[in-house]
Amino acid sequence: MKIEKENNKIIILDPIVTINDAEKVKNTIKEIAQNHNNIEIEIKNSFAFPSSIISLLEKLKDSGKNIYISVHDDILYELFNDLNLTKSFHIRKQ
Amino acid sequence: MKIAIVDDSKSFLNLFKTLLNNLGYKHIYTFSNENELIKFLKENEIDVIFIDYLLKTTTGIEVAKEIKNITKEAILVMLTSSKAKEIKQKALETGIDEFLNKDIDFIELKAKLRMFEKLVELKNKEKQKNILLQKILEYKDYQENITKLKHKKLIKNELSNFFEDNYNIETYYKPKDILNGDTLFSIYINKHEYILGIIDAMGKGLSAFLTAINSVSFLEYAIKKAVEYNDFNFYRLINDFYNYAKSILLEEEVLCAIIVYIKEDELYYANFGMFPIYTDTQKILSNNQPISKKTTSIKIDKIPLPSKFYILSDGLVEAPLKNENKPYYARFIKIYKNSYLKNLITDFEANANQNDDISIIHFFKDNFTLLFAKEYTISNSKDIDKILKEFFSLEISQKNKIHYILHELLTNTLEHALYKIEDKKNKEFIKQMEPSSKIKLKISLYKNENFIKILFEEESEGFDPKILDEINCKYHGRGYKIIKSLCDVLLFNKNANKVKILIRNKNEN
Repeated sequence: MKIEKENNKIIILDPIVTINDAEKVKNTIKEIAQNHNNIEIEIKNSFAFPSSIISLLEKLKDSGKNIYISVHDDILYELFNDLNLTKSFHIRKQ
Repeated sequence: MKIAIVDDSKSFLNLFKTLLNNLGYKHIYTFSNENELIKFLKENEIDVIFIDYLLKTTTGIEVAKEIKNITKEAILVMLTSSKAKEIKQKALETGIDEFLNKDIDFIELKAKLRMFEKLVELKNKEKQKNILLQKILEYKDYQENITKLKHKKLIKNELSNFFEDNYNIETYYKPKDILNGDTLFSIYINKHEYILGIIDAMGKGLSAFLTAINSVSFLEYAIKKAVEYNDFNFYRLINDFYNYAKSILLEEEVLCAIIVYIKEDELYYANFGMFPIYTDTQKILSNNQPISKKTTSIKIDKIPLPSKFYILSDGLVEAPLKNENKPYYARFIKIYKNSYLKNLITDFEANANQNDDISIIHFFKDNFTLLFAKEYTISNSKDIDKILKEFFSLEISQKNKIHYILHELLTNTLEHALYKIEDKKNKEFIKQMEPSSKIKLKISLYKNENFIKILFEEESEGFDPKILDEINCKYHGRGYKIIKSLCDVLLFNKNANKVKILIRNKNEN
């Protein structure tokens, strides 16, 4: 799985397939959170966004961080909506 | 009555204070600049505030604006000798309630103050009433929450998302009000032997609620005891229930109920005036009158177990459509044969307005062809990653959804079955922890014309499926919600170590 990190932004370029992939994304988010209050995530080519990552983002939000997610996949965007996360994670469709 | 005055003339302040004292007012606070007044108002409640229009550094209008940000309760009186209408108009818009000329005579001032006093008295009474109302509402909320908890405890809905082999049951219960006459129950007796039912006590409020909840409690207890003594008999249960219901009904009260008993390949039913049983091939009408003090006989019938049926309360089919002056019934008849519960509810919410309690029980058997089945033994996250990669490389319809669902299920297996993490705080230590055991898994995929079925079987202790109702989806339980959102049907076996998932089979983009 390829991911890119630019300042406070992580771009997920490939599908999150394994638990190890999810851990990689989480670790990168944690690194960003150490130095930035605004965390941007662009999910370019993944249908899945595991619950373990969502839980981490919830915790970071509760600790005062701002989360901004942009999604390319329609169904994943709908899923975020179903989970009532659109507002709290400032989710927008690309 | 507490009175404050702001004016930059100290002699006027003294004069006005003396005047007010002579009129019997004791709580007078004077301020020679607006900042002191504002500071004071932030910590004290005042009933009437006299504000001079022309202050040294600002106007009374600006001061009134600031006061309005602190309190909306106080009566604001502007002291001015000006007759300019523009000033008075602006002052009124800002929130000034009254104007007084500084050279007002004693009698006139007395009359004005008496009027203010009456206003303050009315305001205080209103405030007291609101405090009392707030307390009543808080107590009502507290009582309603306790009632909800009690209701939940009394309703025995063991089979809300349940499967056992090819027997699948889904239930849906959405009351309109807190104290309502609608309730459902689903009870496991033995393998392929279940009792399902809906009670609808006619009328509204506490009386209907008591009848419904008493009836369910009676049924639950009678079934529990019969099963305990290995002496369950559906005919006797219905007879006992009928006599009990008659004994608790008032003269004019009526109780509708449908109770069905599934035993292997047969369906026994006693329908007391409820909507029919809607099967995949027919509708089976009620075989009894609603129960009242006057009913004298009961009937139980038996049919071969249909491969699908719905039982429901009137709240679903009688709800008005959003865009037509018709009930939801016609839409239900059109779609129910090809709908699972989630599809039905989605359609209902999109097209109808709920105006009554809704209870639905759906039973179905599924008929699928096996596509893929494989057993795995896993002991760590690397083993799980191999499985996830394998499924991601499969060329099957709905691959993305299947993979995402398996990702959530396998994460759950890793955390709970393998590492026994009950407290998610320990999750961070997962890499350092030794797994407690090896777990055997079997994942099977099936297909029919319209759906893909995932059967996920784990050789673990499982969990109590009831916890899914109480799940806190903020940090935990999100995986369950994700799976529910991605699929059309999500069912657990009795021990919740097997999961059956159905996904509509359509091409993904």
